[in-house]
Amino acid sequence: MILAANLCFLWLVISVLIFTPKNMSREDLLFLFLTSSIILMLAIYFPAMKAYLGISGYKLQTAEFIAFIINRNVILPIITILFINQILSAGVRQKSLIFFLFLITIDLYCSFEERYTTVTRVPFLFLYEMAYWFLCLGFLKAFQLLNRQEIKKRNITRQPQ
Amino acid sequence: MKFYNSSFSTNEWFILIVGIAAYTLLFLLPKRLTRSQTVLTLIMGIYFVALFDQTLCKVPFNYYDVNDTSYFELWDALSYIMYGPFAYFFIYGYSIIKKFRSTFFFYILTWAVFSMFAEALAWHAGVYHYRNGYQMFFSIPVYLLVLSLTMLYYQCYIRQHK
Repeated sequence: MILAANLCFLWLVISVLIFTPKNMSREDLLFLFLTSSIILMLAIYFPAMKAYLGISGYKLQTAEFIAFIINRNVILPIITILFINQILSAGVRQKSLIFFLFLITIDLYCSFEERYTTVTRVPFLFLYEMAYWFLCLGFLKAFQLLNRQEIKKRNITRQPQ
Repeated sequence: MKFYNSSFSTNEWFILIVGIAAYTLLFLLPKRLTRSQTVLTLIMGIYFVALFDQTLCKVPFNYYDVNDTSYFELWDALSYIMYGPFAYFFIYGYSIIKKFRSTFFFYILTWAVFSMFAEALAWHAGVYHYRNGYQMFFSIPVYLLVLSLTMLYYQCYIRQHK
């Protein structure tokens, strides 16, 4: 049941990602997806440790574990991409609104599907979400800066002497 | 829950030596990819290792442990970082060889064999400890999948860009 529900939700977020106008290049999208997945895998390790070690009461069945992996490695990174994509085109006031919307969405999703996202309750989850958000945004900005510098350098070398 | 070794032993030396050698080689090789492509390729390498280690090592699969304990520790994270340059070498190698129709097939196959050899070395050094009947050749489909996805990245992002 949970696997089917998560697969449907996965289809939904991928569809939204496909039809949403992008404010990022393909490289930025891939970078953000990989980086957010890596951060999530490391961050979720600690609350999910009991399930990872198979401690009774927390042990996930194979279908449940696949649902957990879909959440950890696809759904949550895509939600992050969708929000960061929106924030890149928004005005200053809209930025803070999108940021709070992101916090609320992730918070609701994690409490609704706690067993398949964080597995155990995380106190002050919003603090972790904020740290995660700024980390993702910071890495993306650094990557975009690297890209921009490179394009600038290429343009300079291409200019006729 | 298993503890294999608590002292600084061959697995830590393996990660340190291979990691330093791989990153040194990465910096010494003549540049063929842009800096952003290099970063993306490194992250892709780290991502695949982290994904499979954080999936196949855990219950219900529990096929192997990485380094000294079943817990995630600093050396596990360093082992993920250690593998990053190998994705770069894979892309780098493919970008310099002469390509025919079937080149990608044999190239991926060669790298899968090399990856098995590298895994055998890591297993001997104590980086991996197999459990629940897992055997080294079970990793072949994982390598074929990961190498094919990396190749797809090359075709869609690097070759097209050129």
